[in-house]
Amino acid sequence: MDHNGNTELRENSFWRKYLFSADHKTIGKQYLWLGLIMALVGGILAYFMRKQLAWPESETLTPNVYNAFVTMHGTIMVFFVAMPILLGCFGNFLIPLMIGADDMAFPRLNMLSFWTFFVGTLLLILSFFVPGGAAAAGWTGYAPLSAKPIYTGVNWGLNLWILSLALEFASVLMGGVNFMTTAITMRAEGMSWFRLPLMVWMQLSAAIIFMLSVGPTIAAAVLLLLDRLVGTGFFVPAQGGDPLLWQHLFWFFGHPEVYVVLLPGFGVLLEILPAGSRKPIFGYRIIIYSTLVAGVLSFIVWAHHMFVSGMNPNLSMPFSITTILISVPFAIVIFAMIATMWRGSIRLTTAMSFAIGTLMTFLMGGVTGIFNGSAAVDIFIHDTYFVVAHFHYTLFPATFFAAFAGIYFWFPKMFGRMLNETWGKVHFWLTFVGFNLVFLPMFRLGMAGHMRRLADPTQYNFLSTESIKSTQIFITWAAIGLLIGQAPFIVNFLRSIVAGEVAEENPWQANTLEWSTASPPPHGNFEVRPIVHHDPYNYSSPDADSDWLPQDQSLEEITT
Amino acid sequence: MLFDKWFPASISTFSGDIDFVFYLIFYIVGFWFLLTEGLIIYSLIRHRKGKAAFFDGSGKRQSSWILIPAAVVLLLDLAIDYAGGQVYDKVKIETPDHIDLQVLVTAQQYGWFFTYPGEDNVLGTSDDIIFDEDAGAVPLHIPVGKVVQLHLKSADVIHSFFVPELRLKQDIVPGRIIPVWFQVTKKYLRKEPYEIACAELCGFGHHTMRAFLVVQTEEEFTGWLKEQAEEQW
Repeated sequence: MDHNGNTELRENSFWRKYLFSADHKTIGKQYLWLGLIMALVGGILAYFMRKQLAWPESETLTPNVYNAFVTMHGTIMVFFVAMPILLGCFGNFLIPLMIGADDMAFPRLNMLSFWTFFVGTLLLILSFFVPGGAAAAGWTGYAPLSAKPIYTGVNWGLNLWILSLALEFASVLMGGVNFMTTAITMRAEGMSWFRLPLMVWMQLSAAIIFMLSVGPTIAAAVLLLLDRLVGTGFFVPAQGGDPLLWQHLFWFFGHPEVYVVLLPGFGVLLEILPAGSRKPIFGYRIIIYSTLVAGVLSFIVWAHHMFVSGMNPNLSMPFSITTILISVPFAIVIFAMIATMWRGSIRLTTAMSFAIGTLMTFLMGGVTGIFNGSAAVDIFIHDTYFVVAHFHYTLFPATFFAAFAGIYFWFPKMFGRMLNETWGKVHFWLTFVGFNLVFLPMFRLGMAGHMRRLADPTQYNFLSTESIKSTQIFITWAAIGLLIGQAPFIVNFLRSIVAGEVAEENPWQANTLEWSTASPPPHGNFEVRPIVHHDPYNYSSPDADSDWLPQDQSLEEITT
Repeated sequence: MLFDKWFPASISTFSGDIDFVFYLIFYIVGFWFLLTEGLIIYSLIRHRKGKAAFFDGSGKRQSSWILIPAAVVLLLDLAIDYAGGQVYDKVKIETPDHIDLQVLVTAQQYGWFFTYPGEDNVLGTSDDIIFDEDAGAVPLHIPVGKVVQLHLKSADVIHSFFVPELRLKQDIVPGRIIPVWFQVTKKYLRKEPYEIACAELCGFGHHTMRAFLVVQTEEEFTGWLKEQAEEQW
């Protein structure tokens, strides 16, 4: 019986169990499937864009379709891959298990959240097939390009894009309310705030940042839709509107959104690194405080996207300073992660490989952010491939490396079977090498001044040199390699669900509560409600016999 | 310098300053990047076997291992802010007192149109020399070594004026006229024109929205402008 007394949810029809389920674990897995399928869609769009960029003479895509693919690739990867996997899947699956609860606080709201998300996804896919094609104004939807159908030739495609994002936002808000209520009210006995696994802290921070930042963008989306459907002109200067208003409202959310995605990715690392190094996390409280500081700062950096936008240039330096300062709390978290590995006893599982891979690649994204954050340098590199390289070095590690780390780590708990480790390692190396070969050369393109979002760069003489062209071709082959490199994962994932080695309760000898129940956990999660005795990262404690000490085991129980 | 092969030529009076900030950041973050990656790789190689050490970063002594480096990061951040602030001011905020030439630049899907002041050197008067759509794609002509101010305006959506060699980029927002300035250093006189790019997605023809920038000596430029004026009037 769940805590609402709904016994009928427990064991019943196929529909209730697998489709319209209110069980947080099923919903988490539904988000995972949705995110992985959308990742394939986003990847295929990237493949066509890369083919067009390497061989523009092939005319793989017409300029309209190219712009639509650029727009949809960004939208899908941020909102329909990163969000469902990092928040939808990990948040829903792990929060109740990690705090020792039987489900989310509002299981039915949770189900509604997923199906709202699902309808949003369907609308987005549908938008490819309406007359005029999908949205083609960039994932940032800058007005007035996005405000009047005549400017892009896209009519219903862009309207559906707005509607689908609105549904996505509504869904994540419902999820966020659930995350917060659950973590605040349903923690097991002894699970104090500073005994919470950092994954829960990160999910909570992400949910709060999302809730506080999304409002202005929802308002902006409504205004944009009115501009398009009713002809209002909020963002159209000829009608008294202001295009920069859109940018402020969009980036007020758009930048914190980066951290909404990044923090759960960090959460994955902060669980896997201690378990994989057999050491306590280094600086548990410092990490929490740094995250909160970064969360607050993330609300006052948005105009760093607008240094050359035409806003009052006197605004640039204050935003440049806050932006560069945000490197301090993140540097602390990164240093803490390295110190966690330091003098550990590292077990290089696939999950651990992906976690360390996340750290190594994210570092590149972090340090290159300083170039963009400097208002002076941004004058040159703004809207070039330097920026494209930078944000792929931040978002790809979070959305893919950290997500893969989490999938390899929690797959046994989700499906009751292990993923194959050998093929996991193959997948890791193909992804790690492939990713760097794709995105490292893009810095070089950006430093040559190569603008982004060009359907055919060879229209410019300075982008038609042998060196630039061969770099573009190299990147495309690397991207094809990166895409093919995902095949071992797809096969491994599908095969292991039905035929993987059966997982034990705690295959990684980890401490957090989800490892103290069956794999997969039964409906209701725990046979007996756990009582928490320790902080979650008690690895290699001199007081214990083994090198791990589950949160729900008291030392007396072990010694007797 | 290290990236001379990759950077476009640096031809304006402030392009070198922007490159300087780039290199400053490059060397600072390069140090941290190599240090942190090095520590990770060292740990990966050395800390594999045996029992793990037990320390959790609590207490002043241990937390200082990460807080002191973070304080150094903070100081370096401020240095980068200071250097960047000086250069941003020079490019975008402080316009030179004396402006030699003003040009009105109109961007529209998908082309660039330039209007020069006539003999009175004032824009918006009857002797303006206007190149509109009927004139075709006339390049932007400017005299070398002179301070040029462009007034950027858009007829439809947001465009962005970008000349990589000038290190100058400015979005053009419909409904506003946004001024920018630059001065091409004398030694960068060359026959072959530079390219003006649109750097902001502006519709399906975005990638075709190019114009040329012709840098001439003062005599060549005044001669050219006079010729154009005679043709138009």
